[in-house]
Amino acid sequence: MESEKAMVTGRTIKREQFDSGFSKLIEEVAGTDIYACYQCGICSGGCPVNFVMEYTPRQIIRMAQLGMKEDVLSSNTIWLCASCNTCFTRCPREIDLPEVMATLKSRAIKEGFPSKIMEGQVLYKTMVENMKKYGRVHEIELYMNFARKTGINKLVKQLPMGLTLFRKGKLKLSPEKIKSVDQLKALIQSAKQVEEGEDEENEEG
Amino acid sequence: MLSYIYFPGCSLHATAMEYDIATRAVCKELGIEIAEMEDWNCCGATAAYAVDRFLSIALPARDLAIADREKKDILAPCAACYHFLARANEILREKPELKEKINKVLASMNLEYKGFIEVRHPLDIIINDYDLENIKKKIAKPLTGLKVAPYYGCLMIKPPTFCKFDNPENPQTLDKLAAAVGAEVAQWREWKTKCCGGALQMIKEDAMMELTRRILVKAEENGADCIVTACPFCHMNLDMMQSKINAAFDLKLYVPVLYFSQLLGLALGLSPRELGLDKIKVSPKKILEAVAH
Repeated sequence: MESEKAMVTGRTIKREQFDSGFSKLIEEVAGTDIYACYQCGICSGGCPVNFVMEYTPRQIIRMAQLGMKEDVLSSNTIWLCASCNTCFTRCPREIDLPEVMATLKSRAIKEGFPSKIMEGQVLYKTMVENMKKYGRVHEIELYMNFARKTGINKLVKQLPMGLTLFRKGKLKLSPEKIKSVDQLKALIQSAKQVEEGEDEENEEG
Repeated sequence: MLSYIYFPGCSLHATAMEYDIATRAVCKELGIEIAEMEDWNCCGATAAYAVDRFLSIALPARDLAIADREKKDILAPCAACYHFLARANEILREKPELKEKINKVLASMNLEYKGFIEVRHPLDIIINDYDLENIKKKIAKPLTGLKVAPYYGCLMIKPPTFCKFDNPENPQTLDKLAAAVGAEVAQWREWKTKCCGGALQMIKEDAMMELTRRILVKAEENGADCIVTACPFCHMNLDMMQSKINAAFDLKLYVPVLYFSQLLGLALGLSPRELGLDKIKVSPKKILEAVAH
């Protein structure tokens, strides 16, 4: 067969457009077998966020199997997954969808895919920067940096809640920094190296 | 004596400080010994694995290794910390190659992940180790007449592969605790495990508000005087965002949201201040009046 009708998108895509290495990479990183999926859809039925998703979790898995990398990585679905684990808990094929979604997020960041929901990428990246700097999350700084990158209106919208938290004494003005923060930075750095090393292995393979 | 290494996590040191205050107070009252982990770092939450999977295991691995050194199980009240620490523990036990890689990195900090310790949630410890019968003996002020909606959220009970202490679809621990303190328990079936939207509060607020609205409305429909939870993110959405949800949907919801340790503390006879009840946004006045008799 020259082409395969992609049921999920309604488009006809050519076999050569599929990226067969993509599904393999996702499986290796997420540590779960996406080809085990037989499209029953229990994941999509129970997904609390399905009503705002471009593609449902079931569709994302099918698209990932087919190697539709660009459609998957630029979809809003991956950023809307709330990591609630309802899908994984119910999946009769024991596919770890939250790990798949997280892996897709990290691939989208790594490969610089423009996100339809920029806030997702920015939030997670900013949080990790915050962890790297202090070893713990400092909420005020996280929020300021998040607003700086996503727009000042975010800050204005959240101001009432921020003030309530502040009035209740629940926001710390100065960050808590762990003693071994330098060693933690080294740990994060080596994490990067391990990941990059794995990428090379995958490309070679 | 029950003795654990206490892992508060970032939230319990800030936006969920009342959960920290109440959990410490309750453990003290029950004689459960807890000592805060020295120099703990963030568990990575839902952010780390969205950026880098290795990092999402390496971060909690350092905390697990500290607990290994102390030879004590971790007590983690925050649902997200509990989830991500338990996840890393499970993955590292199953993957010796990964454990080896992580230990090479940890060696520079004189730490080693051994996988000897368990990550425990205080609800599990109170219900299963301390035993509900022993709790009942300590109740000074039974919360008779109070109707409680137990709300579990997601991360504490799912997935059952590493969040093992309760049933993921029909959890019981909060229900049992609420009944043990003398409260009436709202039977709201699937709603007790419906997701509140979690971190979507910052990513897609309208979706989060819709999810949280449904939970608050169902709690009121079921005649609950309050919701009881064990997750700082659920609490943030249900409590802090409640007035915003009322404004956005033209509603008049009034559902105080308590941490489970605050509810238990009241029944043990601790004062609202000792339990940080002044820190929640939706006034717990009607709860305190019901308790005062």
